[in-house]
Parts: sequence; C-alpha cells; structure tokens
Amino acid sequence: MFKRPLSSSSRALQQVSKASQSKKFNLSDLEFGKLSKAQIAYLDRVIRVDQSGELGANLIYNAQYVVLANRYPHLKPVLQHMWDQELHHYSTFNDLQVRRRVRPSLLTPLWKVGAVGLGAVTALISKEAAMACTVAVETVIGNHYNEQLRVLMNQYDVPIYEKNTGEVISKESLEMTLRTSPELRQLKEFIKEFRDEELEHLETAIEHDAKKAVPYMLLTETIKLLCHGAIYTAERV
Amino acid sequence: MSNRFWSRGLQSVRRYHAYDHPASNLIVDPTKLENKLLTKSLEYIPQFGFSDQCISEAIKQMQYPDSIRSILTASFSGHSTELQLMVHWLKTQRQALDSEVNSPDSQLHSITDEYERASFLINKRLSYNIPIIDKLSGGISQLLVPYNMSFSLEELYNLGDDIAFHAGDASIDFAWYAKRLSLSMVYVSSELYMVQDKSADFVNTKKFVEDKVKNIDHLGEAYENIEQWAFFNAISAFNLVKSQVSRG
Amino acid sequence: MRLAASRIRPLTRAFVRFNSSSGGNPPRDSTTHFGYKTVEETEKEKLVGDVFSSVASSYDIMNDVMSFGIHRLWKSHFLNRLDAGMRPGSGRPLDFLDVAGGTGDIAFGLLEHAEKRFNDFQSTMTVADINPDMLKEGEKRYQDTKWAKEADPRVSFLVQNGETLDKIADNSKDVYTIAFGIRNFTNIQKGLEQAYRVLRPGGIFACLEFSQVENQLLDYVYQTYSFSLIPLAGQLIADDRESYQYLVESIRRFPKKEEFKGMIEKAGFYVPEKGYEDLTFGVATIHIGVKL
Repeated sequence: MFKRPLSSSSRALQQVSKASQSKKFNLSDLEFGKLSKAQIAYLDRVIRVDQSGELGANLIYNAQYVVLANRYPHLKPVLQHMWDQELHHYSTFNDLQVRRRVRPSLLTPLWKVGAVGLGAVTALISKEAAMACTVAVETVIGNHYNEQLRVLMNQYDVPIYEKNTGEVISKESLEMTLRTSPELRQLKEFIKEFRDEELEHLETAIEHDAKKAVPYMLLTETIKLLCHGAIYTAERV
Repeated sequence: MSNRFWSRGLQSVRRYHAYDHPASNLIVDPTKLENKLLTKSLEYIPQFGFSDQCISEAIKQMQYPDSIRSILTASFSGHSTELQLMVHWLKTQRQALDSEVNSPDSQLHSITDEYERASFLINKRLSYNIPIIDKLSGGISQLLVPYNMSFSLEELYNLGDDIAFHAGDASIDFAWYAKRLSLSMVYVSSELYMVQDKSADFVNTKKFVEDKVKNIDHLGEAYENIEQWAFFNAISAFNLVKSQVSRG
Repeated sequence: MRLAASRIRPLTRAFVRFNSSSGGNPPRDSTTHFGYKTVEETEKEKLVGDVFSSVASSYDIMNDVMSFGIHRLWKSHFLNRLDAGMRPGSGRPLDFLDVAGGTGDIAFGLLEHAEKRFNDFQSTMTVADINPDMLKEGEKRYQDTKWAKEADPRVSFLVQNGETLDKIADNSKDVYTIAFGIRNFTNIQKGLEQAYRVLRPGGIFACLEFSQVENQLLDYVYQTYSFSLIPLAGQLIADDRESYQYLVESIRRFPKKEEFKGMIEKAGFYVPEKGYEDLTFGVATIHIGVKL
C-alpha cells in the first residue's frame, strides 16, 4: 500500500522537463521525495515531545480543575474550556504517535506524576499561583511550537516527482497547497492551531490575575526551567 | 566499540513513518549494489548456511571479479560478512512481512482480534524460515555473540514493533514498550522452538506461538517479560564487558 | 636534492599563514597548491618530486614521525578491510595496482594477505610511482622478498604519473590502492578519473590518506604537533625541514572527507554507505569506491 522501491537519487538526476511545467497537477499525480535521516529523526522527536507536553498540560489543568472548580465557581467554565482544548490536543498527538509509528516517551509515568503534582501544588497555593503556572507553561509550549513550525517550514524542502513518469516537477508549477505533502501540511496546521490556543490560555491566565501571584517571577521562572528540562528529556527518552 | 553499544540504545530504533514520502520507509534499499549482492547470496543459504561461501557463489553467478568483495569487507558497519548476511536475511524477511500486510489478499485482513493478528503475523514470519530451517541455528548463533548483541536486539525490537503495529496496537504510554518487548520475546522463543520442532508442517510451533501470544493478554506476563528482558540485557551487557576486558 | 633556499619558511610564518588560510585567495586556473604556496601547475609535480627524492631513503621514518608510528597499524587495517585476493574456486586471479606505492609496503602487504588468507599465489601486482627514486627504494626491497625468487614474476614496477597512467590499459585492473599518495597529485580529480579508467567493472578503488580531525580539541593538539614538531623532527632526523613542512601543509590542503567522497563519485564510482572510515579520530581515513 505505501511501499514502493524507488531510487530517488537516480530520479534527482533527471532534468525538470518543459512539458511537466505547463501541466496542471492534482495531488494524486504527485509523489513526494525521500526525507533524510535527520528530517525523520526531527519529526520523531516532534511527535514524542508534543504528545508528552500535551499529556502534561492536560493533567495540569485536570489537577487545577479538581482543586479550584468548587472553591471558585466563576473559574469553573474557564478552566473547563482550557482543559477541553488540551484534551483535544492530547488525543490528536496520541493519534499521530500511533499512526506515524513513533514511540511514546519512556518516561510517560514520570510526566504524569510531575504534571499532576505541578497543577495541584500551584492550585493549592492560590488561584493566582495556578494562573502563573499556566502562564509559565503556555509561554514555554508556545515558543516551542513556534520553533517547531520554523523548522518544519524551512527544513523540509524535498523534491516532488510525477508519479507515473518519475520526472521531477518544479515547485513553481504547483499550487501552494501541493508543494508540501499532506502529511506535513496537516502536522503544521495542527501545531499552528494548538499554538494559537495555548497563547489564548496564556492571555486568559493573565486576565485572571496571574501576575498577582507571589512571588510571580520566582514561580514562573522555576516552572519554565522545569518545562525546558522536560522538553529536552522527552525529545530524547 | 563499547561506546557504540551504549550510544545506540533508544536512538537507533525505527523512527517516524512518513507515509507521504514512501522512499523514506524502505527497510532495504534494493538499488544498492551491496544489497543486490547480499540478496543474491541469500539464495545459496539452503546449500551453504550463513557462510561466506554464499557470497562467493553470488559473486560468481553475477560475474563480478573477486575484488567486489571489498564492498562488504570494508563495510563501515564493521560486521563480518557472515553477520552481514544474517542481518540482510532478517531485514529482507521483515520487508517481506511488510509486503504481506500491504497486500490486499492477505488473510490478515479477515482477522479482527489484536492478539490473533499478532499470532498470525508471528507465524507468517516464522514460515519464511522453512526453506532455510536446517541452517537457521548457525545464523542465530552469530546474533548471540556478545559483540553483535546490541545490533541483534535492535533488529529484534524492530520486528516486535512491526508485529505490534500491524496487529493494531494503539498504546500511548508505557504499555507500548511492554507490548513490543513481550512480542519480541515470543518471537525469539518461538523461533528457537521451531529450530527443534520435528512435527509435520511445524504444527507444534504454531500451537506454541498461539499459546504464548494468549499469555501476553494477561498483563502479568507482560511485566514478567520486561523482567526477563532486563535480565537478558544485563547478561548481554555483562558478556560485552567481559569480552572487552578479556581482549586486553 | 634539496629545495631551493627561497622556499624555506620559518615556523612562525607558517602559523600566520595557517591562521589566515581559510579566507585566502583561491588559486587561479593554471595554478595549484604546493603546501600553502600557490604555484604553477606544471611546477608542482617537480616540487613534489623533489620532496620525495629527498626523503626516499628515510620515508618510513618520516611516516612514523607524522603518525606517531600508527601508520603501520593503519596500513594493516587497510589491508584487512580490503580483504582482497582470489578466493578458492574463483574464476581468475586479480590484478592489483598500487599507485604512489614507492616503497612497496602496501603492494607486498596485499600479496601476503592474499596468500595467507586465500592461498592465492597467482594474482599480479603493479607498483606505480611518479618518482624514480622512491620506486628504486621499492625495487631494492623487492629483491629481498620471496616474490623476487618466483619463476614467473608477478610483481612489476612502473614509473607512472597517477594522473595519466599512460602505460596501463583501460579495464585492466581489479584493485586500485593508493596509500598516503593522492594528496600529492596536482589534479586529484584527474587521478580519480584515471583510476576509474584502468579498473574493470567490479573493480575497487581504495584510498588511505591523512585527513582532518573533526574533534576541535584533538584537531588543535594535532595541528600544534604537526606544524611545530614535525618540521623540527624532519630537521633533526633527516636534516630536511622543508620537505616535512610541505607534507604537513599538504595534509591541511587536502579536501575534506565529504568533499573527497563527492570527487570519487564524480569520477564515476559507486560509493557504498557513508563512503569512508575514520582511523584514530580521523587523523587518517579510508575511502572506497566501486566501478559498476
């Protein structure tokens, strides 16, 4: 179904033919070239770390909800809304991890414990501290998604071949949506959508007095540091 | 060499599967000269076993001069030609299993239960051993040399991953590892059973596989296999250290 | 013969040149590098010739100095990796060609390996070197070997420029080896093209050459050693500073591994896997190519 032996190197030698440039192509006419080992490895890390990240975010909101929802009824719908979005992110990456055959982080149990702990402890300190935690986490995740988007935009230029003839097709002759494989385009769209939602959460948290948490800087910087450490580890282990 | 053993680890296992970039997912690239040579050599295994002679015969049949051998002896993997032959065997059989799954006529598509699918896949893979069954233990013994162990485990893991994925596994956490390790262990023990199995059409092996896979269903077995696996790794690591030390 | 006094460069200047070399001017079309000097192409051959003529008799000592004595291990590793020779029951013996093989150690090593491992007493060896003085050194050693006593001589010596190989027919060799020689070529690409020409289909090109250390710390250590101590050692051991200075500089000038791999492919060879193997942190590298 997906496997076909092909020699991309010999194809790459073939010239872009004049005929193919004037033709109009559909997705089904195209075959996208081989990704390098480094490109594959990066995608592997992206899926694994994003899955772990969303698992963590999901559980942080879960813990905050459990602690805060009954004490502060006005926060209930806010937290519920954010949590629902995180659940959607998490299930999306779970699905990608399974279908793209990426191994989940070996430290999944650790991320679970850590996230519940972080969510519960900050929520127990105060609702402001919980919001400060959200600010810190969403800042790191937002930046991380941006970084991933930057790499996926710039580093994934692979040759495109005409399926039947094996000829290289020039990118200029294709519509914008056909210049990237559906698989990569979809991944970028997910990440963009999720990044926007994460930044929305950040704004929501600031609106709900995150900056009144004491000591705000110490709290957010510590959590950011933890998140960076977790990202580094989850990409690799 | 020992640092290679440690640095491989989790980094070397099968990665992201890029469906829209089909050339990225090939297990063996059939256009490469070394692979063509090894694939030809596999034809002579029933005759010579996993030995260097198969390669000599392939070179002769392909009408290359003996100089072409340097492409294998100078292989930057550092593997002996015999081990390269075994490795190539494992990879091409894994490729064959993949083709089976992707064929619309495969019986697999009529099975729905995950564990039954796993049984089917393991039995299918084992059936590829039948033409060379007499010579198989010679090949396996190379994989068990401490020096080659890290590589063998990697390839075994990749087979376990293929079986788990095609059986329909959708684990998203630690269970993902447990399942692959269990299926790998089932495969290894079944293969060793098969080498000894004298029953007609290897019916006993098939039964063995089915029983073992049913056992995975019980979570306890999975956990037990992790322990076994850890133990197995500990032994191989110990052997490796021992071999490094005794080499001086 | 000694290099002219005008080419002597004090050590301190060599360092200055080394540090500024990355941004240096590219040579014009008809010029090439002699160490760090840019010289007319026609002149390099003569200059290199002078170097080797002057070091021929102490060549092994020089290699010992350059590589801490490890070059002997590298060469034996190189021979084992090639594992060349006619296999028992095979159709025909092989024809080896060792280019820049002056002193003959690779050539004799290949023959010895084929005899010991495969009982191959038939494969032939041609040793080619551009420098008659180096080649004479090899022939002298050859006279003391068992091969000189064989009724049907299998080893021949040829004065040959590796960039033309004009006395060697197309498709006539099975194994082309060159150890620590190719960086002295005026035009390396031409040399590779000739290698491709003389090999039969299925023939192997194998090159052992000094290379650049990728680890920066180790590279610094090796640079310091090679730019300061090697010319000094050359002066003390062989009373010939300039020749050793040239050798050190020519290593720096040699293309990087990936680039050289590209050149081998450009000459028409198929390069398997990543195409090269680093020895001792990349101080030396083995490159392989196959003529399909």
